[in-house]
Amino acid sequence: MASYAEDRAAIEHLMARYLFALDFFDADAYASCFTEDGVLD
Amino acid sequence: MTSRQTYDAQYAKDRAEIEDLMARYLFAFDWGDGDAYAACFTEDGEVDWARETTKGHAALKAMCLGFKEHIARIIGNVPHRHFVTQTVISVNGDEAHARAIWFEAARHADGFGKATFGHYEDTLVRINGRWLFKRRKVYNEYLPGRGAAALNPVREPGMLR
Repeated sequence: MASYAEDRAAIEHLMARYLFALDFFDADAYASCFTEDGVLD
Repeated sequence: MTSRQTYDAQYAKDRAEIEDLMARYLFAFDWGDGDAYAACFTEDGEVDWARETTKGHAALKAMCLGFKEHIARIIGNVPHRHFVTQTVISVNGDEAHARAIWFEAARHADGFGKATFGHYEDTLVRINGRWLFKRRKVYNEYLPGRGAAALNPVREPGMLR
């Protein structure tokens, strides 16, 4: 089972990739940050 | 097709150390601490920024000291800071590639001043257990010719998915 540090690193990486995708209008990269049924509210 | 980033204990360790390096870099730069600034780089490390490419510790130190004077000439002697925000860090053994957003702001007499921003494109290497910048390219949206290209910088070669 992953440690908190590992999970945190992976999630920070995900959050950063999310914002780069959004700011550069990279739709595929943006969608790939979500689960298949992911929701943005 | 680019490979996927492995998320394990080593990645968490590397990411923590690289984030620490990125922060130490900015403290050094904003305080005009030339020695600490140069120490963030490999011996042949370089920064490609608006005015020129600066390479090697002696030149990097001089550039850091010169920037402090340069900023003072432009905005006066007010507190001026750089901020790094989201960091996408791809680690592959002893080499890493990173993309991070930065902005800068200053505190003028009439309040917190306007901010400029851009992003960094970094190549880092681990030497004797320490992560160092081999090359840092500084993009700046406020400067002609230094803005980001249309392609998501995270998509570029060396950046694991």
